[in-house]
Amino acid sequence: MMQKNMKTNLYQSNPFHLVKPSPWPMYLVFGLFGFLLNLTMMMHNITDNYMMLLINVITLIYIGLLWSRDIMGEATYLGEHTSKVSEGLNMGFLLFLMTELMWFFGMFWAYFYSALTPSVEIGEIWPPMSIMPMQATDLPLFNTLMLLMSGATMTYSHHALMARNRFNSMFGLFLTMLLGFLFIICQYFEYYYCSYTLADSVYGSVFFMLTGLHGMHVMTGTLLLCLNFYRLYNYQLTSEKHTGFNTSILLWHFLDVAWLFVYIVCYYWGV
Amino acid sequence: MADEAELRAKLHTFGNDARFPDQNQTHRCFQNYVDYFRCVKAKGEDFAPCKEFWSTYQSLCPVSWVEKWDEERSKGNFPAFDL
Amino acid sequence: MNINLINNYVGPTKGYHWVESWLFSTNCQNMSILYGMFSLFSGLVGLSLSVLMRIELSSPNPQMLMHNGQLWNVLMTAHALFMVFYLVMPMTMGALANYLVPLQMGSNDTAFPRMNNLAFVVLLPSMLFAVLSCLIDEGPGSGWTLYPPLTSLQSHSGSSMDMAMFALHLSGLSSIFGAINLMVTIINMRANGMDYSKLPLFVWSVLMTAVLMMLALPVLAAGLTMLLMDRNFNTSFFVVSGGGDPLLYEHIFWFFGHPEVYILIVPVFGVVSQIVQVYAKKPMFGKMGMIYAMASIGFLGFCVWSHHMFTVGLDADSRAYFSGASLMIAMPTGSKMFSWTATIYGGTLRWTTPLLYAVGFMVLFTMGGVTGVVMANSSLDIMFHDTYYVVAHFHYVLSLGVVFGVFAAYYFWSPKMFGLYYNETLAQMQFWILFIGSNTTFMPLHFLGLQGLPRRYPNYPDAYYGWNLMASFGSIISTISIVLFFYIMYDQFVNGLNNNQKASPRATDPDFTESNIIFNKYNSNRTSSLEWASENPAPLHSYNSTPIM
Repeated sequence: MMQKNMKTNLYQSNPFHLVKPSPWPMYLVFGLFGFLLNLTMMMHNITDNYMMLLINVITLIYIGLLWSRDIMGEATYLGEHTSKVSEGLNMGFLLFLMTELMWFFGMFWAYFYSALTPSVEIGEIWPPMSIMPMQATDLPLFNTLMLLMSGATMTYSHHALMARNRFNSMFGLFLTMLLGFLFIICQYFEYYYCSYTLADSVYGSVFFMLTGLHGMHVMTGTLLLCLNFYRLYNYQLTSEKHTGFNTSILLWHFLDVAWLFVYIVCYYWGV
Repeated sequence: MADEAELRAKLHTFGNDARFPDQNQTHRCFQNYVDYFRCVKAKGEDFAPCKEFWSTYQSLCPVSWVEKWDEERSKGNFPAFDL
Repeated sequence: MNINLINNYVGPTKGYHWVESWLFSTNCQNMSILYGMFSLFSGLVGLSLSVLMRIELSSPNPQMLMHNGQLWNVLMTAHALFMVFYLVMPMTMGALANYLVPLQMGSNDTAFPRMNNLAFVVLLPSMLFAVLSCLIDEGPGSGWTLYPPLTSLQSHSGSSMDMAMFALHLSGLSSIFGAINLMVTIINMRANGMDYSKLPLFVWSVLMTAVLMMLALPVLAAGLTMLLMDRNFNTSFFVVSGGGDPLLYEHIFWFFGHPEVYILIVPVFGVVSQIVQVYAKKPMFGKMGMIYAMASIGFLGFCVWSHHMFTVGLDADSRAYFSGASLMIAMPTGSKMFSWTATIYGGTLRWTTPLLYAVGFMVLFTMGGVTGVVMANSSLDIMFHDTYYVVAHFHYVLSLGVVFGVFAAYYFWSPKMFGLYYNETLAQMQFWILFIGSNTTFMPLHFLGLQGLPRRYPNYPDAYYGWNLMASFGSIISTISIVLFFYIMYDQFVNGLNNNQKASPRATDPDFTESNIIFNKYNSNRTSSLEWASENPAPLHSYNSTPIM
């Protein structure tokens, strides 16, 4: 175990965390380079060996896990995360969410640009002729309700943790995970039974790009929640100090709000 | 020849249309094309204001586009709506 | 011979195996030096590409590319990518910011050292992709803007265009990580009593730049993702036949692209501010105004993107707005220029190399800014669009602006970073050769542009021969100065004097000895900043305990 070798300074006169040298960034980049290179080769039929891509994805996930294990060790067992450090971590995560927001901004720009002045090639109508848009009041509404409910259960779990109620906190987190998972399943069925595809004019492109971007983030968020469940189960999160949990909650609420925009624009306004 | 002279008289450069402020007048050409057939459908071929749409799109649109759209209408796959 | 000094270079490497201290490093000073080496390398690649292009253009008719227009386009694209993404951004926001920001505000490292490492290491596959894309298939012949119909599968069917996009994606990832790291460092890790108004201007400029990076680069990533989807997964965001519009890409790209040029220049504003106040021996004139000027440049940078697209057929109202907004940027920039001038005015000037470069920056950046004001008028831009006038403009602000600022920063802070002095005489010679060379290169381009020579062509009518020949001679002169610069670095590392050799008459020359005195507590004129308070080079993690201001 790497964690056996981790040790902290006996005395330190500043509140910050001086991180020890870490191999993970470099290893992560190996995975990243291989992933993109193999993706390029597959997209151009230079190779059709999916295994290489799979190995790279596994590398990426594995390095990510090792990296987060280091962080968890430093936070839980070495006590490196002083209040100043967790403040910084929270801030960094908020800034990261800001970049996510700008990414969504770019995608929404594409949606509005295509929808507000539909081009002549699709007859200046939105959605284009013979596209049968999804009913906003069907499955998408159910999805919306589930995601909003998951926001509520998330808050329930968070407040239970702060009130030192372990069972309720874990129960709330479990419900949130379940709802997130159900959301992904419903989204899968929605895609499966959709009458148009990614390739059906710009409508299909922007629709699947926006909902898919959101869906991928929900998957990531659910994985983060699973990680937090594991930490909660192992008594790693305390009522006072749960920076990782805090950031996951931030991501989850961000996804809630983003979904409201996606829902209103893609399912209700743009049909 | 007389027909052609008449046509030239009808086709002239059209002024500004505030709905289409862009230099790129593709949308204006298409809108007038669609409006002409919508007008004809509602009011009949002889209704005079429809001619305005006709001469606008004849003036603005490249001939190949009009031919393409005419063909699409006859085939029934014109993207705008059922014309 | 002080070669031992390099071996005894104890600062950032103490106690670690070299693999740990360079490959797995979590120390901002090591990362800074790695960024610097990376940036120098890509600068050389970019420079050699530009020299190839100048040789090709040195007289009409093909000189060496043998009518291979695609190769010309690839050279041009690669030159832009290397200069923008692999020379300037790693140098300013990587090397300089990583070394100086923690030192200047009294923190012992950056906030997320591992992420800092990741931000650098991601640049390596990014550059590998950029190089690979130029070497395989037909190469990315689209310019750094990657405008769609040309970058779509019909026009560039090979894998090289995808690789160029992945290169930009990874570079964007690196910049986002770096920006978040630096922002959190500046907000969260300031020394006790180091409040925002006391932050040195360089730290402020890095903060503003980091905000710009954080907001602009994800938008590029969105655009590139859509482009990649269009190429490989059959979507039609920018495909006209599917109802998409290539113009959308131009909007999205320039919404990133215009803040990007401020990302390149704003850290250099900070560098010049630091240098000018040291060598004029005066505190900065209107420091608060400088901060607000940088903030408003950053804000306005997001409101002017369409001035790159005046000829695409936007409506007159939009063009009027974007002209007005673009002209407005001249105001904060001008106020900065006047503040620097006012700082120099009446100061006790010492014409050292960094000050020469800083003043060179001020003169040449003003020239570039003035041509920018001309082009910001949409009616005039109909004429100037895609002519050599544009090339002259952005080389005056980037090649002569940013790069002069980077040289100024190197000559100002390299003794701090390495503890070794360079040869002042050679350095001043290098400045004058570069000054003459780069002006000889880019001044004629104004005239070519005004005569209507379009950019991005490997050939031109005979009438343009004279000015083109002059520009090509200029690029050779600049190259000589870069060679001299590498000799100066070699001389600095091998024969350079260190702090313990003050007895030598030459050691009294360089500048920072005196700037140390400025910071000295017996001197009430505290214009210099905290980085001179520590030893040269700064020890591992800079400060053992947080300084109290």
